[in-house]
Amino acid sequence: MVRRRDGDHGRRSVRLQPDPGVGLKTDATDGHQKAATATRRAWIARLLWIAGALVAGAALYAGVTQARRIVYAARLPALPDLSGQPASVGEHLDDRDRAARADPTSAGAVGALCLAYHADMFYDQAARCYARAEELDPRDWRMIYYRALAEGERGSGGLLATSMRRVVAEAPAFGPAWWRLGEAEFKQARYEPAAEAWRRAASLPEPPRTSPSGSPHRIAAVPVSAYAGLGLARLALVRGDTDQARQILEGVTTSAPLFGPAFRLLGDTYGRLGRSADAERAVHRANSLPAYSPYADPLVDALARESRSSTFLLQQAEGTDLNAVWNEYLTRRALDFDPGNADVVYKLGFIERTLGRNEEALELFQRYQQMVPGDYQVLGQIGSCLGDLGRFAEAETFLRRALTRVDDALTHYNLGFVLTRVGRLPDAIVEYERALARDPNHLAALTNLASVLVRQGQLERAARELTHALEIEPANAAVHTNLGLLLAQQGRMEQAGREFEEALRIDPQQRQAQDALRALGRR
Amino acid sequence: MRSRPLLLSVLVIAALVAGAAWWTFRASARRQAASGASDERRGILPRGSPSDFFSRQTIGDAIQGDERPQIANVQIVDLDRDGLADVLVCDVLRGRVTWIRQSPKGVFTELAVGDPIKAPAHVEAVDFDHDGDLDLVVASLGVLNPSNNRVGAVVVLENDGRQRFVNHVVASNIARVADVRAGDLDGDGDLDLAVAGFGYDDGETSWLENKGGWTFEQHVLLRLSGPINAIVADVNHDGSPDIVALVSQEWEEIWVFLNDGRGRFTPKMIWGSTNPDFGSSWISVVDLDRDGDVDVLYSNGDAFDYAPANSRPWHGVQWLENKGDAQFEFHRIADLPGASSPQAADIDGDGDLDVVVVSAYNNWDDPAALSLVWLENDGSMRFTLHAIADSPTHLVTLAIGDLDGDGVPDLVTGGMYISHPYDRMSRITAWSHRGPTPRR
Repeated sequence: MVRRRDGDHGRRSVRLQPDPGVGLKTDATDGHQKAATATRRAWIARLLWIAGALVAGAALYAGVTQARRIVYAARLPALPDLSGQPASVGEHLDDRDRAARADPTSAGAVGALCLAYHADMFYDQAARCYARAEELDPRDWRMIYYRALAEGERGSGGLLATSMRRVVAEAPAFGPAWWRLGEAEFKQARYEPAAEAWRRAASLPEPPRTSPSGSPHRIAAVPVSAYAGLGLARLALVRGDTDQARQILEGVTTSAPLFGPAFRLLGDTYGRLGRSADAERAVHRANSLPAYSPYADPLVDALARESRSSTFLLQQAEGTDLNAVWNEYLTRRALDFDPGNADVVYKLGFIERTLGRNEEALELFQRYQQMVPGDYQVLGQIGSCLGDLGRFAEAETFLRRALTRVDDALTHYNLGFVLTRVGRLPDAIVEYERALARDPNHLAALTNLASVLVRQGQLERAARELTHALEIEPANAAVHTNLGLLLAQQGRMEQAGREFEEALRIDPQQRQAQDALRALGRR
Repeated sequence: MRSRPLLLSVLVIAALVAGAAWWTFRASARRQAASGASDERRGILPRGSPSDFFSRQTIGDAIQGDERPQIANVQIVDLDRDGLADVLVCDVLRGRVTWIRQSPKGVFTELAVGDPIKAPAHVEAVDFDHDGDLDLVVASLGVLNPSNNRVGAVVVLENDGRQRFVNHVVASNIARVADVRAGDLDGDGDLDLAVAGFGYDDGETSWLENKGGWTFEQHVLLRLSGPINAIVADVNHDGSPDIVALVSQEWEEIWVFLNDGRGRFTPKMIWGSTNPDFGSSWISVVDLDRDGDVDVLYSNGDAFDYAPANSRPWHGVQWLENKGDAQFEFHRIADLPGASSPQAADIDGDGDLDVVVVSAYNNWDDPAALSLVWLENDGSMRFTLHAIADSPTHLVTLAIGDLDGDGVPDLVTGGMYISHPYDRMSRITAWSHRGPTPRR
């Protein structure tokens, strides 16, 4: 700055101040011309200087930009060895990697690569990539969240907690982050911070969910607040405060009536408090509900939509019993991306069968059988499908073949069911009895056996079997109704009435019990 | 001419920026190369074939017909105390505990002991009744596949001194029992039992108080599903046996139950994973760093959940360092798909403890997938993985002991074939350490 001011002063003196020692006009003209030439030169020099500076600036900018791109691209994780991966995974990662390297300073392109690594179960690469994405856009807390999840998979609980603290600072209204923070703290036996985080999670609303077109809407059957409540109850039990655990769990089971693990823990809590009948009821309720499944985190669902890994997709499909559409969607994607994976074929067959689509299930199980000829479990599945399709003779053949290798309760039960359908009742009884010998608590075998015994006129024994079924599951309204009908058939109206009333207490909508009670003149 | 200094400085700045970029690029490349080199180092095998210093021998009964073995547990112990190490086996498929007797040296004969036991999962040899011979404490799952039915049992096979055993069912109709270990938990002089009741959705960690006359009373310590191990060890050095329990399923936690010496326990979780699929598979309690207290050696490699039953990227081996006052610090030491049954022994004879691990759920369609490895300890608790074998596959259990009496540790493994492929099966394999050790 100082130098430029001096230069300006010097130029001004050339233009405005004549030399006092020069008197002739010519000399004066020459002087003016010289001055003009000097001025032009000065202008040209100035323009050249500006142009040079601009060129240098542009070159500097381009150089810095290019250097930055090279540096950023070099810091992206190197593509892992994809030779053992299905082609879809290789293509997926290759595409995302190419896009990120083409634009390595773009948070969007790099973030997409990170998600691809994460969704395809390359956790090291994902974590390194998320670190880069965080640098590019420090305000995007989702990258911190995902990075924490990727790093937490292999047991880095401390790291997970540290990262989740950053997430909750950026996104305090996002309940799943508070819940995960509570989990991470609890697993490190840091109980007070865990309690604080879970209390926040329990107080927050369920996060919004969006479903891109072409993918089904995921329903969270159990809200994150219930998971946080379960954590708080565990904490209360660790601290020996059983009554507080009871209070929390009673609240959780009321607000999330499909949350089996909460009922199970409530059963344990009632047991500790000496309330054995309540404990039994809670455990029975838990047994009728799906087992534990991880919280349906919308950000993890986004990973599932991104994934090309059949293992990741099946992992996400696991435990989604309350959401068959989502389960089927993920499993179909797994098959699309990994058509040679026999386990995926089997799993999809199982889903189809659960949904009652026996033709489709049969086709898948037969395909699986070709892929894994030595697996005998599938023979039972094929037999069951054939039975449900009314192809009883074939069904029996498959089920008996299965039983030569898999002598389990379920296959005997399925064979009993087929034999019942074709009217071979004594044979069916034998199979149901074999099922019960292998699993005395097989409820369906007990109730079907009772039904066949009624048809055989063995009412006393049928009543005993139904009574046994109610010992296993006292809150089964259908079994109470059937027992009531059986007792009524035996003329034991008083007992029958009690069973119908119990059935209606459990399930007020039990039509048969209502009609039967009306017939008995009690309604 | 005046623009020259400015252009010069611009060029200098540009050169500096380019230099910095180049340096950063090189540093990054060096970092990547270093990480690659470290990966490379982990893959270095001893010279020769992968099982260079172990020779393999199938022992016990052969696979019969087209059966698929289901060996849940093996132990090396001199059951008849004849000076030759024998092998105890829990065979789920045959519903038996068997004794592979070594007599004479190098000749192994498999014999069933006691009456059949449904799905035996673990056996421990201990003089339970203090009569001078080794009895067997057996965990019975009841059924191998997950079930909430209370079909578990604890059975003590009483030795009459001539290796004829009588079954005593000391607990039944409990959650499927995966592990049971003996210890005097209440300080009354007789042996009680720590029990891992795996169950399924239901399960519990408990101890059975020996009331005398083969009667026992169950005390539940923790009602969480999925206990795999319940090991008796003095964790806090107070002279009383505590219980260390591995709880799998969705919990994936390790608990210590600190004993006051009279059977009153204080529960303390010492580590837990937030990954509900972590796949905890086994713990061993051992003073791994030889600092005078017991540490926990821990594998996670279970994959018998959602299909396919093979590798998960988080599978591996770690140890929990006992820092005193029941505080433990987690150290990951190796990635290994399907890792199971880690055991510590000085494999290379250099004075520190190495780790041997089997794999139950690897990517068996890949012929190079490993089923048996050892992790070499460099003396400062840094471990390098070395392959021992890729066949047989599906190894779920491992025991280490001096099988041939040459003073160096040998191995015995058992296979559990409940998922395909079924082309490289073996019931029981003995791996004899040929010695001399590679770096004695």
